[in-house]
Amino acid sequence: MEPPIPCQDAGRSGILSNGWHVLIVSDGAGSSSHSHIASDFCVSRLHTLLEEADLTTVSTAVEADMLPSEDWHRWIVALFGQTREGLLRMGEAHGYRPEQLHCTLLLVIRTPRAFLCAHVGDGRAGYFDGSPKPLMVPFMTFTAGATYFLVKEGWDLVFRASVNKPERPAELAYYFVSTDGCQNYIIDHTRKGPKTGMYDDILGDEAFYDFNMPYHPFFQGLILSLTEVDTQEQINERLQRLVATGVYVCNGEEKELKSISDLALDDDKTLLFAFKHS
Amino acid sequence: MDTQSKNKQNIMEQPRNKDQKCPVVLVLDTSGSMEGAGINELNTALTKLKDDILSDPTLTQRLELGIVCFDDESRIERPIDLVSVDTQMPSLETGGTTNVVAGLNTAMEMVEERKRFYKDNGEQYYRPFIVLFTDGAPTNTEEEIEALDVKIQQMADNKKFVFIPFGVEGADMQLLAKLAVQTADERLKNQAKAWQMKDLSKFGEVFAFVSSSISEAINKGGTQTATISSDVAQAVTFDLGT
Repeated sequence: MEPPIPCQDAGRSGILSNGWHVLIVSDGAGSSSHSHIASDFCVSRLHTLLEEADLTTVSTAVEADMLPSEDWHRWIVALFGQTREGLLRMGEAHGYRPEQLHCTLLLVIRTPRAFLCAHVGDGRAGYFDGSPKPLMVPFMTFTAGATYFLVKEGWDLVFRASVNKPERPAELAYYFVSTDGCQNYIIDHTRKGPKTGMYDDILGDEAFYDFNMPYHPFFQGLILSLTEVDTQEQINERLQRLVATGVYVCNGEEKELKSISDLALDDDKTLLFAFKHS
Repeated sequence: MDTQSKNKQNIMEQPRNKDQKCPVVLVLDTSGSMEGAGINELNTALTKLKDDILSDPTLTQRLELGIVCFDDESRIERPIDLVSVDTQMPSLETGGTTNVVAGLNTAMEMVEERKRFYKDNGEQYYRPFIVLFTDGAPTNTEEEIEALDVKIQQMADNKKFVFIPFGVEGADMQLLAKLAVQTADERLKNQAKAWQMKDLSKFGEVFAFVSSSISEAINKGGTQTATISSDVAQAVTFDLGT
């Protein structure tokens, strides 16, 4: 009997010294034997680098509404590069080849004025400020499941970073980052397109784009379910039950999310989600 | 809609995305040497394959099956399409020689055409499978086989499809292994692996292995981990470096 495959996803959230909220996820490739180690390393390493970084320049620019995406890109790609170098060094020390360490990496930082985002590969991120909006465009091809990984050569050409300012910050209700295992139920699949063209320079007509919009009813129902109860313990209990069985309670009734409860659909799933509890 | 009905509605869930298909082409040897027990077992196995697919909700929605036969020439016995209750699996008959090159070229063309269809409709797809079954040595020229080898290698290296050859009894296993090698992976560059079926009666079990592998790959987000029992088929490895 073969040992069970460990979860190859990893996630980390935290508050930086300046009060910014950090969400990081990483999805290890199923075909990579040590991708669970890689994803765990990447989220921890990137989080540490952010904690140790001098945020003054970036913070000042954000406060002044003067941080163009290009400047943010230059700043954060360096930290992704350091994460990558650390991963390769760790791999070398343990005798792991780079192809055994394939994983994606997604970062969302919530600042008072904007979302700072960066990623290599696929996955999803978005928010709601009166209407649902995406925070990034995943790297996808027409071949399902095929994406790019941090350790691969040319990762910096696939790397994308952006600064996103909510149009109605006072109405910000939630934001999230997720690995692709959750996308069946957190992304709106009722509509197709448009093609953003973000990866056309790399993939040509192999680049695949979907509607890439958060599926608001999922998050709306989840928030409703979690805000029906009063204590953190009760919230945790509802979340654990949803994760374990796909069953959630809403308006006093139990309902089932087949996207979660179907045991045949066991791609790893990691969703980091923050919402306003009014 | 009244409040009670609203409460029963699952507001959080949308219809599952059923757009991502996995095309699979079986390339089947119907040369003269398959006459009798061989072709009978193959036909029985195809009927069972239909039942296996229909009993798996994932495969029913996602696996698109095509069938190509080859003897003197190649024939498309079934275009790539979903399998339904109304599907009539072909009843195969044996022919003449063993024109593997024609069979595989036809399969590769079918796969590329189906991928063009998916792209035109804005649909993602899983990497296609081409699965070859043969019981003899090809009757093609060396030049034809070499050209086929180069083509398969290039396309497999570029992840255009997954190629899995199965040999039965009198098959040229070393050739099948050579066709299956991928040069893009340094670990596999000088090794070659093909599968040798235990005997003709194992077609059904091998087909079941292929379909269950695909189902598992789809459900695990594209990664396949299924294994085949050694009393059904065994991997045969050749070191091409020596």
